[in-house]
Amino acid sequence: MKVSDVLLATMLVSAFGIQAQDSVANKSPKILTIPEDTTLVDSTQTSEISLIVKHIDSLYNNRATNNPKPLAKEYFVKNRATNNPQPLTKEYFVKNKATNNPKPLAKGYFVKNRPRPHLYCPACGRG
Amino acid sequence: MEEDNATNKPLTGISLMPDSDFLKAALPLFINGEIAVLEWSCDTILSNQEKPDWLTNLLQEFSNANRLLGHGVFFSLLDAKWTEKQSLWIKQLKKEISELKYNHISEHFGFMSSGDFHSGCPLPVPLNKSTLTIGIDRMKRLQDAIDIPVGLENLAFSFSKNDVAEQGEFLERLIEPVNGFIILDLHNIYCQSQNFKIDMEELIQLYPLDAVKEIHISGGSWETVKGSDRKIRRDTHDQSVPRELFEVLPWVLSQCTHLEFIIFERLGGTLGGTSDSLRFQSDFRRLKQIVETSNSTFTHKTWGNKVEPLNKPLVDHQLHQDQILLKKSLLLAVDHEDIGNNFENWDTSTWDKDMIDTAISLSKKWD
Repeated sequence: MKVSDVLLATMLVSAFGIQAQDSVANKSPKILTIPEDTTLVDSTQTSEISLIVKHIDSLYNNRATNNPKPLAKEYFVKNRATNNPQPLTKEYFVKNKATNNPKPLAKGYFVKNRPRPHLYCPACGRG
Repeated sequence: MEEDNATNKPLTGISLMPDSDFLKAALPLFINGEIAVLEWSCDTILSNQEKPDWLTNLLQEFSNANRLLGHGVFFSLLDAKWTEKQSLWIKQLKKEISELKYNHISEHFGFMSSGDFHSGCPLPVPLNKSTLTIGIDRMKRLQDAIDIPVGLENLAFSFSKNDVAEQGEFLERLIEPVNGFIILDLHNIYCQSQNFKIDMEELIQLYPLDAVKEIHISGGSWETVKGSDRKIRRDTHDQSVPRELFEVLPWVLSQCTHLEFIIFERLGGTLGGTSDSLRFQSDFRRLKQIVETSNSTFTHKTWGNKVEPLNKPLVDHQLHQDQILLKKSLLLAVDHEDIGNNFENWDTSTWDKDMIDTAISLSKKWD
């Protein structure tokens, strides 16, 4: 019985410990990294790495349904951060950690303004 | 996705293990669509949270195609006492069946050596009125709980030649009230044949072959008896299939006219490297080829009955005492000399001493 390509790809990932970063939820493509020494044992003794790639490609094809023409595996590997016209460097993130805060709060702020405990229990009224 | 078995030949598949070595070895078979049916030991995983995604999805796809078989390990069919453990097992089985479409459910002949839910090994009981009454009560309860056929698998282990000789009849009488089926495990037969020096074909003919719906085939290992040259064959599922099983298979196929499934078993975690994986695949392909080239004809049979078990599960206190004593004795014994003959239901004087030592070793391994 033939099982679906999506399932086969999931099984391949589990069997060979291929690291998968699934960012479908973020509407960006799935990125898979295949270890170089990955081979699929088969009695025909053929190197089955091509089968792995075939099924992973198939996974991409099935997932990326919004693309009129499915993107090749190499595309995803090369263009991981495709939403950025120019990918951001690691240093950028290190420097701009707290970019949402117009002015980061000092450590002392939290110590001074620690949330106070209730003077009485709101449920039973006990002090 | 649903496929018809148009040729009416039995479907060949594997017993699924969640281990990664097993998955690696089986993957080429899945990729090529060679696995026609899956058997899943649904009570071996503690909870659904422990199932990896691929396992859940694989079971679902075979379930959708009506190609999924359920197998139980821990029900302890011939346990003389009914405990919360069995009630819970049936409750969980009902839940499992409501979530996945199983073709049938099977369990093992015997009772479990451990009271724990997920350990122990099955031990045989002699055929007598007490054991048969308990067994039929449990089979009815199982059939009443689920709306699909139920069956039993023959055991690899016996204490005596008498046990071996009567197991076929015992199984026939247990499945009869529920119109159940037999899983004929050929490696279990091979173990009995080797350990008690009985011809395999002779032994197989002692089973109700028209009730065989499924065959199991696997490998095992030899264990040398301490202080002796004798080797005991054990159903360890950790080696390749013995040549004798492939040789006898065409004849077995010709005898089991209602056969529907043949399942290849291998324990996860025992496929050490590439050569093991290749052997696993070649054993499976050889098995499949024998089935596909067989000239035997197979006809479908209707399995399962509507049954009404008694309100309360039967309990046999004497048999229970014997089972408790046997479990304890096997766990505490150093060798066969420590097992007394204080049982109502067993006559240990007829037992093979080397088989007692094997049972001691089995109990210590799995409890």
